[in-house]
Amino acid sequence: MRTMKKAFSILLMLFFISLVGCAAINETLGLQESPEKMALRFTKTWNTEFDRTIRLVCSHLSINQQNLILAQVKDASLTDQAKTDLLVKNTNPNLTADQKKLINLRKDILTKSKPFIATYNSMVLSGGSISSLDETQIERLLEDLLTKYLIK
Amino acid sequence: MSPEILAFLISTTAFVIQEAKRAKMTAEEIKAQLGIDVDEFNRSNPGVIPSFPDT
Repeated sequence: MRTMKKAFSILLMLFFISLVGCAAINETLGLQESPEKMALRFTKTWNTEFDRTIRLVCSHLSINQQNLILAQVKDASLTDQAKTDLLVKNTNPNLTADQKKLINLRKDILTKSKPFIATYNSMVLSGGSISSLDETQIERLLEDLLTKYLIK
Repeated sequence: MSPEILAFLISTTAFVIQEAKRAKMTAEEIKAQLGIDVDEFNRSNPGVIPSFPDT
């Protein structure tokens, strides 16, 4: 009877140790990405890739000038037409055919992925239900930006 | 159950609860950061990027 009690105690201890261990490993290695973390990663990646595309459009300008253009492109008080005109005016005249093609492809993916990410973000921020299908679609689109159409 | 085992179980349970609370706080912090990034995201329209139809 005494041996059984001891064995039960040891089993209980092992159970608690494994519980703590699993939680710590998951947290440390980030094996389980929460929807919040996923939304943050999607949004940050999209923002970064948007910036990189704009920088490529006006790649002949200095970094400070590019930063100024980026600030204007994200200025909510300017109209889309004003932003388009600004970018057309500041487009690098020496862009190669490959670079132009890359900009077109990246613009297309940024445009296609934006509504998916916007929906995902609003679901995460409002606490709504999230579809794993949306996550997969966003992952695929962003992967194209980060691998197939990466700006080198 | 010996007092040592009981003490161990209590301290382990406390640790698990503390970790769970910490994880919840982190989620709130992530949401706050997400709000900032979403604001930038909403102000960025890929439609303004020039297209090059002749390529």
